[in-house]
Formats: sequence, C-alpha cells, structure tokens
Amino acid sequence: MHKTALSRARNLAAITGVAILVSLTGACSSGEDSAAPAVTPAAISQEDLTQLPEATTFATVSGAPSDPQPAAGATAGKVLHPKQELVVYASVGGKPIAKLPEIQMGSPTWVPVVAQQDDWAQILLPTRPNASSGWVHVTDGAAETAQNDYAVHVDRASFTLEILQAGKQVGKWTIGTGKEQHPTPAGRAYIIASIEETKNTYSPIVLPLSYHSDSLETFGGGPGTVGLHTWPDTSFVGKANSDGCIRVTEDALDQLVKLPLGTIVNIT
Amino acid sequence: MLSAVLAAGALLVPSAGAATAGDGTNSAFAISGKGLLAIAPTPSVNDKEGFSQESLAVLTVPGGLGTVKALNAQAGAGQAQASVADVAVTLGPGAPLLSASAIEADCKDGKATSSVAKAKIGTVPLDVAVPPNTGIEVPGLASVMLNKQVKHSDGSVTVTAISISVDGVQKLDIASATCAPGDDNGGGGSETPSTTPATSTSNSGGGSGSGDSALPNGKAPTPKPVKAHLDVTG
Repeated sequence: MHKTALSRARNLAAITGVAILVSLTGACSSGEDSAAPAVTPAAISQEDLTQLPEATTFATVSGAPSDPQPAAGATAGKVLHPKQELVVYASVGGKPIAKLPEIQMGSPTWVPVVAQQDDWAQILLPTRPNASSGWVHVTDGAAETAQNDYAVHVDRASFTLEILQAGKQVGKWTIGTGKEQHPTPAGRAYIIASIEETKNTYSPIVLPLSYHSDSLETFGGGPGTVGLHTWPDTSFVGKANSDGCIRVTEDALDQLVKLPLGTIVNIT
Repeated sequence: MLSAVLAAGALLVPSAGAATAGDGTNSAFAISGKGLLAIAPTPSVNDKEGFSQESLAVLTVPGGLGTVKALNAQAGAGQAQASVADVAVTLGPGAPLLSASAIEADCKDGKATSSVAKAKIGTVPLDVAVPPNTGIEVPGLASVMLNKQVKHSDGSVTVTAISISVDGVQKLDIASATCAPGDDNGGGGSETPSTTPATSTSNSGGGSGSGDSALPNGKAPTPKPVKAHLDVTG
C-alpha cells in the first residue's frame, strides 16, 4: 500500500517535469563523450513536493539564495513563464526550496531570469524575504521564455519613476512613496501580476511587486506586498505618505500597465 | 483574528452552486470544523470577485486542542487550492492526535488531487497520496476519509484532503478545494475521478491572448489585467 502511494508520488513528480525526465536524460548522456555532464536535479518525492512552499507573494521561503546582483539596477532581460509547476532549487543541482506555480494572483507567472547555466535558470522569487532567488531546471516544454526590453527605475530620494526601453528613458513621473515608519523597500523588485481590483477602489489596476514591506508583516488581508498603483487625489505627488506602496499618477499607470510581467522595478 | 473569524459565525460550506466561473463555484478553505468544536472555514475564498488568495500564519484551535500553521486558500477561474503545514490537533477529549508537516488539496478544471506529508492520526500513518475516497480505520474515530472527492450536479468537484468524523457529530475538514470543470477537457465531465493529472505538457493557456507566451517576435507580452483582489500596502 505504501509502495503504491510512493510510485504514484513518483508519477506526480514526473508531471512537474523534474525527477523522471531528468534521470532519463542522465542515463542517455552517460553514453556520450561530452566533457562535463550537465547537472541534473535529484529525484524528488511527492511527499517532499507537498512540503515545499508555493512561491507566491503570500509565502516565505527559507534557504533561498539572494539576488546575485541586487545592485545591477533597472535591467531589461529574459523573463520566464512556467508552463507547469516547477521545483525551485537553492543552487544548480542543489536542495529544493519551493515550487513555482503557473499563476500569481490569477495572472500567468513571469519571473526575471538573472543568471543561466546549461538547462538551469536563476530566477527572482515573489516571496519573502525580499531579494530571494532560486534555480529552476528548464527542460523542453517546461517553460516559456521571452525577451523583455523594459525596466523601471524608482528613486525614492527624488520621488521619480522612469520607464526604460532598451536602457533609454521613455517616460518619467513624480511619484509618492512610503512614509518614514513604513518605507518603500529598496532593491531589485519586479511586477508579479496585473490586477483589475474588484474590492479596493483607489486604483483601477494594481501592479503588485515581488517585494514586501519590512515594517508590515500583513496589511489589510494581504501579506504586506508592495504595489504600484494610482490614488484618487494628488496628495501623494512628491511625498512620502503611503504605507509602503509606490503611488503614481494615472498617466504613469497607463504606461506601467503595458509593461510585461516580470519587468524589473529597481528601487533606490 | 481567529476570534473575529469565529464571531463572524456562519459555518459556510463551499456550495455546489451554479456552474459558470466567477460565481463562487471555484472556492477553497484550509480548515473547517463542525460540532462542539466549531471552526468557520479559515481562510475561505471563492472566485466571486475574481482571483482570491488568503493566508494565515497560525490558527489556534479553540479549547487548546492544537495549532495549524501556514494556512492558505486560493481560488480563481477553473482552479482552487488549499494547504496547511505543521498540523498538531487533538481531535477532542480522549481522541487521537492528528499531525502532519503538510496537507494540500488541488483542483483544476474539474481534476482533483490531494496529498499529505509526514501525516499520522494517533499511531496510524497516512499515505502520501491515495485514490479518491480512501477510508481508513482509526481507533477512537467514527470515520476518516482521505482524498475525499464529491462530484456535484453542475460538474464541479470538491476535494478534501482529510475529512474526519470524530463521533458522527464532530467533524473536521482539512484542505478543501472546489473547482468547476474545464472549458476544454475533451470529455466534458468524465465519470471517474482521476488520481493523477493528465501528463500533457502543453497546458490550456489560450495562446498569447492570455499573456502566457512570448509574442511571435520573441518579446514578452503585455499583460491582460485579471479580475482579482489583493490588499497591497496602500
């Protein structure tokens, strides 16, 4: 009975595109003469999968490596969408730390790729702690990748937000940021979803970021996610008076909603 | 927070209501208790206002009977999911202890699965994954159903990872998800509940229109806003 459950577990693990596929690849490549064999992830049981946290804005992942280049700035680059749930590892061939679902708050998951090694991609995670990253093993069909030309730079000191296309500024606005006791956190965040908000009325569209407030563990019913959104009046412009979010004018929001998910929002 | 939840009172059960997405059919809750030990479904979400997800770090079961951590529930178009971690709940005075490192239920386009990790009731270990509606005998409990799956008349299905009846009156459900059948699942509602999801690698995404693929020129797509609710930090 236990054996049955285990073999079923292995089947499930295979569906996530990790264990079985990979061990097959390993077996095949052993017959080849290629110098350094590609690193493949260790098999993972369904029981281990069940215990992994799902990498969403609600989760905290422990053992995740930090963004390797947190000061890289507002960088454009490759983004990745998992077409099935992917296991996230602490390093190439390392320990599993999370599972990356296909959707985030109803939007398709797109994460920035910040490094690559063979079939492995290092991605930024939408979880706590801020600047968490992890490695996914991307075999054929497991994920979609795309080139994102855009990036956003937020300068808290000057209350400005710029949109960059291929490194060139295509828009700049004055914004509002978090008040002294609830500052907007600095770092290389990214846009995780595009929400047509159905309850809160302050902004028709809310763009939640991968980063979280350092001073608010929860906010409302949410996990303290920092967002990009507009505000019903202009009281925020050039001021630090939000609870951590970046408030922008409608004009800015109209442009920000066009940016691909996974776009870096670099906050200094 | 829990007291507020409990005060809110009504013991709602995910309804087997109408069929279309967005009417609340897709729904989930992490834990629910009925009987003397009443726990309103917590957290409890549905898709009436678009995609919804809620979490709770810790729930202390009334009466000092234990704790459940990392409670999570989410529901959106055609899918729902619920999970808990680090469960240690005594199932009533003199009743055995339920413990687990993780319990989850997942429902997508009418296909339901559930699994548990390092789970035990009393001295009885629970298999990681079992076929739908696997009943197990546990001394001191009226019934224990693992991977409980109920198909509703509208084609939606409810999967509850663990459903316990202590004595016929006191009931406890952990990790429950209800989802509507998929728009395009070929058979339009198969009779037999599946124990493993389909092995297809190409998920029904609806192509570039839903923003989950690169544009023909390899560029990242402009996202389509999705109806949802998330309290960000204002």
